[in-house]
Amino acid sequence: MFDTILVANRGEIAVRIMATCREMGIRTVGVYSDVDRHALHVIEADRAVALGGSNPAETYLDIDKIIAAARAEGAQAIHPGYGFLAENAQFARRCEQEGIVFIGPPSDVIRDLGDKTLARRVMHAGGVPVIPGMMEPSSDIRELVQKAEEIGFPVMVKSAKGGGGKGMRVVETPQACAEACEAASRESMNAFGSADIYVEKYLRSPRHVEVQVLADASGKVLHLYERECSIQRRHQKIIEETPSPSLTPPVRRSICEAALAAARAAGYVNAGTVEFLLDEEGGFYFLEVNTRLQVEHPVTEMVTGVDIVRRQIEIAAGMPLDLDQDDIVQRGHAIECRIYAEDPMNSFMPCPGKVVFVQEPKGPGIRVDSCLYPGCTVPMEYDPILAKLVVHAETRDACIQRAMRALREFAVMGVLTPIPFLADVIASEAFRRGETTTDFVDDFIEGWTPDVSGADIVALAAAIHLSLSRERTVDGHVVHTPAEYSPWLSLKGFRP
Amino acid sequence: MHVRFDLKIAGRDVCVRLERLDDGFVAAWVDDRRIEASFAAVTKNVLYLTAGPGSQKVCLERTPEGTYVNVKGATWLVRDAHAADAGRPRRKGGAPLQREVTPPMPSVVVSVLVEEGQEVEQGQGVVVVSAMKMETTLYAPYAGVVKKIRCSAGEKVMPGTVLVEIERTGREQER
Repeated sequence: MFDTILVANRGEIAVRIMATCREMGIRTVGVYSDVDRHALHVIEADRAVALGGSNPAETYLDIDKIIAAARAEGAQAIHPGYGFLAENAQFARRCEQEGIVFIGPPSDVIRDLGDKTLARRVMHAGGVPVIPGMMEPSSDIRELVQKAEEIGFPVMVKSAKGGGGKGMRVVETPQACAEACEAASRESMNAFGSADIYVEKYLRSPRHVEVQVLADASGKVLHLYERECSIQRRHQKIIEETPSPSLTPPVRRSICEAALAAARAAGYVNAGTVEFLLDEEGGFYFLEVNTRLQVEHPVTEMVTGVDIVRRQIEIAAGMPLDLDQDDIVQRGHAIECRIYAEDPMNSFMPCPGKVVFVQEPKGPGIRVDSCLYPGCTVPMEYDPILAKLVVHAETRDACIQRAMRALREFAVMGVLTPIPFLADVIASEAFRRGETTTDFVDDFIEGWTPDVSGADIVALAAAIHLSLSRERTVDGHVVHTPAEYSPWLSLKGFRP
Repeated sequence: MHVRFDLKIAGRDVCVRLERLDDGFVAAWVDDRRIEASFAAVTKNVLYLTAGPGSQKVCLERTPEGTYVNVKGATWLVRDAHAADAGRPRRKGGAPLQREVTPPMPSVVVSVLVEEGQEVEQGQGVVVVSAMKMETTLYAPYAGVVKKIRCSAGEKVMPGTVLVEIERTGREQER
C-alpha cells in the first residue's frame, strides 16, 4: 500500500479524499493556489505544496507542477478527485511514465471514454442504445449548425471532452445555433483545453440515472446500483438520490447489466460511472462514462456501506476486489443536496465572497462533505461548490423528512446559497411523488420566492443579539448603552 | 428598560422595541406585534428562541454590513435602518440601477465585443465576463456610441466598475 498520496484537487472533495487516506494511515499531500492558501484542504493535508498563481490553468490544471509536487514530497500515487485533471488522459499517461500511480483508470481508457463521440461509437457497437446525434466531433461552426439542422431542433450542444455541464447548451432554434456553438466551444476550450464539440438530439424531460461501477485489474467488475440525478440547474446536478424512484426492478436490473457491459467493453479499471438518460417509457440511452469519482458518490456509499475512495486506492495499489455482486445491497435511501455559493433568485449565478459564519447540521443519518469554516473565502476562480449534505434513512419518505430537517439546520452566512430553495424542492409534492425530471428546477423556480414570513423572529433575534453583545458587562449585568456608542441604537423611543 | 431598534430586513423597515431582556426572557414589540419569548444564547453566534409553538435555533454574526441572521436555513441581512438609508449609493437624476456596463459579481473579462467609437444598440452584447467557469454577457443598457473601453481580456473586474462607457444617443426612453 502507498504511504503517501498527493490529492490534486481542492475544496470539499480534497478534504473527503484525505479523510479516507487518514483512516488508511496514508500521509496526504495537498496542493494549492495563491487564493486557496487558507483553504480547508490545505489545513487538513499533512503536507501542502504551493503551486503559485491562481488561475486553474497555472495551478490545479498544471501537470508539470503537480508532478513536481508529488516528486518533491515522495508521493507514490495521485488522487485527482473530480474536475481539473481527473479525466485528463494526458495527465494519467504522464503519471504512468513518471512511475507515479494515477488513482483512476488507465490513460487509454480515459482517452477513449473521455472522447464523448468515440465513447458513443463504442457503446453503439456494443449494443448499448445511444441518443441520436453526431458520432464525430467538430469545432467548425458551419458544420455543427448543418448537423444540428439534420438532427432537428431542439438539440443539445456538448463539449466532446467535457462533463459537469460545462460547455453545454440547449438550442431551440436554428438562429441561436451558431452563437451557442461558439460559446460552448469557447467554454470547452477554457474548461477542458479542447474546442471540439458535438450535437445530439435534445430529449425533453428525461430522467438522468447513472450506475456506479467498480472494476479491479483482474477484470472483476461490480456495480453499486444506480443514482437518480435528475434535479439539475444549468445541466449540473444539485440533488441526487438512490435508489431512483423511477426504476422498476426489471429496469433496474437491465440498466445495471448495461453498465457492467459498458465497463467490460471499455476495459475499465477502478471506480467509474455509466450515465444514462431514461425516457417516460422506461427506455434508456447511454449518455457517457465518467472515469472518475463522482461528486454524488456519497449517496451510494450511504446505502451500500462501501467506501468508494478506499476501493479506488486499493484497486490502484493492485489489490483485488474482495467483494461479490451479492454482497452489495441497497439498504435504505439516501439523498444528497449540493450547496453552492450561488443565488437561486438570480438564475443561480455564482456568488463568491467570504463566509462569515457556518454551522453544519448534525444527528442520525447525516453526513456533510464540506470545505467550509467560519471566515473562509470562496474564490471566483473555481467551481463554487461549498458542501454536500448527504442524508440516509430507512425509507424515501423518512429520508425526505431528514433532508428537510438537516437543510433547515444548515446555516451558511456571508455568501448566498440555495439552501432555502433546496428545502422547498425537497418538501414539494412533486418531489415526494418522485416526479423528478431534468426540467424540474426550471419548472419549480418559476414562481418560487423565498419565504419571508419569519422576518419578525429574525428582527427580534437580531435585537436580542445586538443588545447582548453591546450591553452585557463582564459580570453579566445588562446596562444601558450611550446612544453614541452604537449606531444601531436609537433612543427616539426611549422612555425611562 | 426600553430600547428601540430601527432595522431594515429584506427591504422592509421593522421596528423592535425591547421592554424586558433578562433571565433568558424577552418581551418586545415587533412593529405592532407583541412577542414574549424565552431564549438561550448558547454561544456568541447561536441563540435558541422559544416563541409560540416551539424552539427555534437562530445563528447570528455581526459584520460591518450588518448582522447576518440565519433561521431554518435561510439567511437574512439585518441592517440599521438609518445607516442603510445613508449608505445606499444614490445616482444622479434618480436613474435606476443596471444602467451601466458592470459585472454582477467579481469576474474575469473573457472578451470585449465592441471598439471605441462604435455605435451600439440597446441590449447589444458588449463584454463577456466569466466567474467560476460560467460565462455571462453584459449588454448595452441603452443605444449609443462607445466612448471608452476600461477593461481588457484577462483582467479581473469587480461589481461597480464600469467596463465600457457608452455615450447615449437619440432619445431612448428611461425604463
